[in-house]
Amino acid sequence: MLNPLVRKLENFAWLSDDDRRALETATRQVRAYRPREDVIHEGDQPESVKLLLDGWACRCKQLEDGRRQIMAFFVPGDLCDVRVFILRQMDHSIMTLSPATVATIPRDTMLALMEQHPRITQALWWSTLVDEAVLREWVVNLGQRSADERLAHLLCELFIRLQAVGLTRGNTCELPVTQGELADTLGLTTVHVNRTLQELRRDGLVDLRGKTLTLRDLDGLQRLALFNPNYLHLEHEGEELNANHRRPDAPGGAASPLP
Amino acid sequence: MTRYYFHLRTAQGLSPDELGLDLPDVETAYLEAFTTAQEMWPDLLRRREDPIRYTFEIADRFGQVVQTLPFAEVLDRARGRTARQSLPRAARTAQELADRTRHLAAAVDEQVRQARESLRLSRDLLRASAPDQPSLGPPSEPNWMPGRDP
Repeated sequence: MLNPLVRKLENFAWLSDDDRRALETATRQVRAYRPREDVIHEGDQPESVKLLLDGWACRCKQLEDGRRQIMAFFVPGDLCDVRVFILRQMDHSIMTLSPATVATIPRDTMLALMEQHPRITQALWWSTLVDEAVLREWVVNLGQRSADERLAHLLCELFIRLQAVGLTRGNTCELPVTQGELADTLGLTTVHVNRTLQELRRDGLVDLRGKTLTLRDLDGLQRLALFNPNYLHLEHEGEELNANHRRPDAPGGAASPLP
Repeated sequence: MTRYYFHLRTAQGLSPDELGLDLPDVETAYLEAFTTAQEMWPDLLRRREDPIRYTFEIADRFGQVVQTLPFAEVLDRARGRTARQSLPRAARTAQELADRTRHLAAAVDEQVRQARESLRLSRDLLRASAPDQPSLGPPSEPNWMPGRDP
């Protein structure tokens, strides 16, 4: 199976086989996590970069009194901060939401990767910019949108992000997130999320059964959420960085090694 | 954990909760409903709907309504909020506890009111089934309501 990080970065630029091999090698150190396990905890010293290969995780922050905000969802292919090892101390936690496989890319490997593979470096810049754009969009979500718009927006975004890494089937995808976790993401109560989900279902927009999310009417959902996918930057914006002057799926596109 | 259903009574009728949520107890369910009402208030106003006409009816898995929360109750809590913010933490906690107790007391009142209502209904029915009896006169309204002021 294609490494999900390769798959993700190729939404920006086509990588050479050499780039791909380097990414494969860098992400070999893996560990399995149970659901709701801390990958890294607030206060820990980050010494490496974490890459989610399989499953879901989130970035969260807990207040003294127990209230919690989820600030990001990680799906396969997502790096939990490309250059986090520069910091001495984590200011938030990263926690799995489902059984997950996480690769650890040691600090030196990451630095070498960026030094020797300019295309990967640029693709990682792109990935960081997209993460920041998503965060900005979430600020807009919490600041401006009503409860139904917020939930609709989040579901649109997650579906499109999963689609970009090949994890959707038709109009369904897996959503291994509890309603309580959705609530902590959207700044709503669980009761409110539950009610809003039922409203979206009654309006024929989505159906969430167990962990399976079905988007019955993606257009309708996007209209309700005032959703514009531009901030996800999935249009191969770095196409001029095409390593092999081919699309990766084109036949006969043998790799020429990097100059 | 018990499953609670948060039906919403609106000006247009009852909007049922078909999924429900598993919560530890009815008090948690009530507090969840309370915070939800707080959240829904501005959305409703923006949609030009009157939150005062909304009520959460919290039902257990047998369909029995165990708590009701008129959205108007959110306003009680909002009163005196500025004063509370300047209080030290311990006092704030005590006051929150008192608030919570007051709301629970209000819910008990509501249940007593409902019980009383059904008692009156049965009395009316009884009277209707024996029309030849002389009228007993209107039921008296004793001033039984416990004080709810802090």
